[in-house]
Amino acid sequence: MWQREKKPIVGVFGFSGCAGDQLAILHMEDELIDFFTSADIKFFHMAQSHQEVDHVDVALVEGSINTTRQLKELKEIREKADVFVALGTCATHGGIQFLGENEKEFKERMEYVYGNDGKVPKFMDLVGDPLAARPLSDYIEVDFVVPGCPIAKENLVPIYTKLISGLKPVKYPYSVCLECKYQGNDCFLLHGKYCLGPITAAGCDARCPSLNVPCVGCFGPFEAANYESMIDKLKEIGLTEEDAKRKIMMFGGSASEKALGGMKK
Amino acid sequence: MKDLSVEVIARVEGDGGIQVIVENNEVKDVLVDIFEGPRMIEALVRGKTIHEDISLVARICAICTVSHRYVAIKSIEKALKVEVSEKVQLLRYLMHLAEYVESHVLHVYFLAVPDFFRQPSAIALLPTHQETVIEAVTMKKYGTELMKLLMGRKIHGENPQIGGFGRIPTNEELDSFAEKAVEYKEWISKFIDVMATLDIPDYCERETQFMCCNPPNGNFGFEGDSILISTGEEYPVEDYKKLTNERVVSHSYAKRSKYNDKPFSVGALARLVLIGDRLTGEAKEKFDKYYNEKWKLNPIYNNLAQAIEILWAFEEIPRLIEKIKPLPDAEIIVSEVKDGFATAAVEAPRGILYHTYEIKDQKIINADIITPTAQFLDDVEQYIKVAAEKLLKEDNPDTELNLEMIARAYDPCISCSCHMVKLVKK
Repeated sequence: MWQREKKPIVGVFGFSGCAGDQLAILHMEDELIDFFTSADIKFFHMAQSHQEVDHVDVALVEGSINTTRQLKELKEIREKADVFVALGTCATHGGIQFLGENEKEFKERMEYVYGNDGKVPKFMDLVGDPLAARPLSDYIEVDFVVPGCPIAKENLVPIYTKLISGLKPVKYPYSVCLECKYQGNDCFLLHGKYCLGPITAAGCDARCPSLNVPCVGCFGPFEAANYESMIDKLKEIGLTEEDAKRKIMMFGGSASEKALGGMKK
Repeated sequence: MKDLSVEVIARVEGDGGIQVIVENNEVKDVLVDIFEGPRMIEALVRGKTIHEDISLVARICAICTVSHRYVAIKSIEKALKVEVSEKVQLLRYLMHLAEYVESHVLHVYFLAVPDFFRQPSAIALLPTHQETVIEAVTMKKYGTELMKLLMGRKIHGENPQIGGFGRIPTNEELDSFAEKAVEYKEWISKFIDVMATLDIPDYCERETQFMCCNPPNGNFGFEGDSILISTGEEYPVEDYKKLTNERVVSHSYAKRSKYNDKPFSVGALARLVLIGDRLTGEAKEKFDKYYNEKWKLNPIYNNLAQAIEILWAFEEIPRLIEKIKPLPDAEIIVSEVKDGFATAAVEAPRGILYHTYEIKDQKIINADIITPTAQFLDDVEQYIKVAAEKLLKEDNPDTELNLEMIARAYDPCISCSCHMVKLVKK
């Protein structure tokens, strides 16, 4: 069998999240053996025992940064990687746990979950100090993103195969709304029901609207998301501005916070 | 003598390590450290609607996304006094079984078994055990495809809703899964016999307590309104706080639990110890053949217990599909969102999962989620302590791997518990 002389070295890394993007790789059962044999997977601790790496051609990284320990590790991975790919909404936007600059809310949540009589214990150096959750791009340069909560095979495979072949991937510059039209679905918004399809990054084939369930925005906002028009539409069908913003912020993370923070209220 | 450490536990879900602190050749302490950062899901669902809540809490964990979404729906429906149709109930049970196949196959074949062959991964077993690896991949695909059919996608599907399903699968779609289950049952059955021949190390034996949900009508199963304990006691799920006594420790972003001031186990092994005699069919035959008193002392048997549950799931799925097919489809029940408070529990593949919600003025105002890993981490530490003492005395060269195997046998779900082995010798 023909084989390349040197396979590209790949590392799969995970920070705070549900591990769903790493699991989505393991759930590509038909491509799984190819995935592990077409590149030299040097690091993927969810699937194989730990190996040290001093350099990777491609790093696939999921999760948000929630501790000082993770921040240090993130910077190490960036230094060791030629191409850095953020996998999934936690990595690209901060995920459902995103807090960004909101130190007040961060403190309240820590007290609610870990507090004893209002006091949060000091965690050991080894596990790191807690940080308000942020996406990877808040700290380092990200070369490519694969959106999704979790990522879809339809997005990952084209990007991954291009990268391990030394080619440049293309972006998805459109929203779920477009994919929903391709699926021939009836529009929730036109029937007065909420749906975040118009502002959400594509790549899922409009999965939820195709099941008669509205889009909750889990892939995060796409680059050209028109928030103002989305909020106007949601208000028109009876949501308050607060409801609309809360729904957008569920998966919107840093990108939506910037956009919404800058809009006139 | 230096401390021992497993910096990062491999082949588990999430980030953890194990430290064993050794002083004067004695094991002073064992710390299963959880580095996975705090996401504080219970705090972030406050102020959200019930529908927003179920999308958010499913994302606590990708491997047991069904269990989280399912128990959240159960708890909220209990608080709102919503009764769904029999078809919806049975389809939910089916999606839960699909998760068992997916999660257990992943753990048994891909995460746990490679250790017994001293290999770093299941993929490394391809050259020597190609047929078994391909069977494993095929069974896992079955589980994830059945989850996709019922959930809407393999991970974090939005199809299960409060009051029903967005889309109900057709009988034809269900039939193909019933047929395949009959075929795959033979594979796992054969594999159980192989697993039973593997050497189970006896360096980690000690007595512990077990807990699991008590499924209704004396059946085997993965949910119930009360909790059985190996002490012979039984409590309603509403008493969960008394059973878990959650506390925070400084070496872990996962919380910890104790019952009667002692650690306890939950998961496949706990279920087989407590209700294994309720199994039926071939799963019962395997249980009768291989189960013995040693299982109660040694967490490594959890791997075999999971394999028996996979077999049981393959036997249960065709029976369940036959019951579902004649039932009429049901629309989603949209109920008024009233103030309420409720606790529900299901057995996630790795043990009891509790969700409690308080609903007021159309919003969730309080949430309490207790995951299996948060319940059994204390127990893992105790087993590692017993093993480390023994292995250090023997000067065993594989001590770290052996300790990691104990942690791995529990199938810890670290993302879930945020809310694994490093030996440090001084």
